[in-house]
Amino acid sequence: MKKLAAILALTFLLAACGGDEPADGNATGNESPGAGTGTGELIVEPASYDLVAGSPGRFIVGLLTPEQLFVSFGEVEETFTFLGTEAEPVNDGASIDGTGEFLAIEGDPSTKGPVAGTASDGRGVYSSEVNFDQPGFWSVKVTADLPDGAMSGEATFEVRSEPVYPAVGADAPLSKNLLVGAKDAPVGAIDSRAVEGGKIPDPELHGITVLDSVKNHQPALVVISTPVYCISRFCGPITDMVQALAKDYSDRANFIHIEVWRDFEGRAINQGAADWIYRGKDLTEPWIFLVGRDGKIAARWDNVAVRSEIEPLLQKLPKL
Amino acid sequence: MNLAHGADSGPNIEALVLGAPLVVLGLALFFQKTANVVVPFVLIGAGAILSIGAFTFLNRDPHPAVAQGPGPAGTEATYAAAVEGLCLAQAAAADRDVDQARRMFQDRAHSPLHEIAADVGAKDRGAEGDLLVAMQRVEADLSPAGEGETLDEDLGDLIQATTTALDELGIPAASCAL
Repeated sequence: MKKLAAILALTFLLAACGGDEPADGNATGNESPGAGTGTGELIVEPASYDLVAGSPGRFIVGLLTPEQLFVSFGEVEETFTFLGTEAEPVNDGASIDGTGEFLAIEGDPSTKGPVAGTASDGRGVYSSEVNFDQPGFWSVKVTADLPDGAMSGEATFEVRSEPVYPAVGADAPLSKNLLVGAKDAPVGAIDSRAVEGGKIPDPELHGITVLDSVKNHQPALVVISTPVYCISRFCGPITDMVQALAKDYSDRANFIHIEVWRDFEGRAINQGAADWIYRGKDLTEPWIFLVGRDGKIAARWDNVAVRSEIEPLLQKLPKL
Repeated sequence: MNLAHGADSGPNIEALVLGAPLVVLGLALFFQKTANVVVPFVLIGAGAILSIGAFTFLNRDPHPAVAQGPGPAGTEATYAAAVEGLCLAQAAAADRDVDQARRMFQDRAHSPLHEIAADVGAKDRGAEGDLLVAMQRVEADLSPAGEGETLDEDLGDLIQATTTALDELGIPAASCAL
């Protein structure tokens, strides 16, 4: 009786254990995001250009459903986990929890969320302030509590030990950016939107160089973007937003738009833009920098920025 | 937060699947003292097979591989949908329905147009530039500051630039119906 019972128990246990081990033997390695939680699978796209370890930084991330709908509005939960470096991977890295708040490029920011919808319903990224304590590779697991149930997804990104692009506290590049009426450049090099028709839509952003602004000990909000040829797809709205700020705060700072391309077809970058955003063979756009009266960078925003992030700083500036 | 997405209150299939092999194995215990010594071992074999089947069922992936968005195979269809979106946007523009034109452009055409531009740019930077310039004019028409007076015409130019780019990529593009 005992022998038979033992055979029966073993039969059941063997069946229960079979196939439970992940193929790679790593329970957290290659499993699909959301597996085991019964959640769906979000497409998670980190959108930050220059994350640096050792000080709080702005982490931004875009979210899509598998049906390619944009996840927008409200807040999402984030868990960041250190994965180590290429030379020294880590299995049980430290985790940091965060909350991503939506920055709306399209749609009404007061919309309740998160929700999944089309681009015209809402488009933007989730932003959080994160202090990554060490350089290397990190993963982020994002969970969005959507009306039809929670969905999660994961992505991996790099945190550097030193910034690649001009960072807060560094001297601003003293660019001699192109101004309206520049004789030595095609009009499309001043603003790509002028490439046809010749009309520069934001002349107020092409009135002073960064060099002269710093020489005059005046603060400047500098946007480096290419509204026509933008890869990130956010240059147009970002440039329009800076133009709107220029109208409201022209007594607080200089506002400068530096167009990325001197000749798009010929792949020639404006030197004024290259000073800021061209490193090695990498070009990232758009960027916004706030340069202080001392010529140092006071704040910076990569890829996606909204008025509510920048306006409070402009309001604090003394009048010119 | 509700993480139990997909849970429902219907019949508990898992309990039934797990219960069947247990019943068979229980019968093997029950019949172990019968005259026919073969019966319990036949039941053990059946129970083992049912157990393996049950746990295979329970270990199944509740989220089988589903579409992860348009991949290479879906590119032509996506690009065709972009042209269709432009045609519909132009129809809305002709009716002076700028909101509908904006939705058609943003939701159906904008993203794939950037992909078409990037694809053709690998072969012909000029065609990429022409497409992006035409696209930007439409975006300006549709922006809050835009007056939209030339939207219909600019959408026509964008459709032309898109068709030219797709021709260069060897992808046939249907024309908008008249």
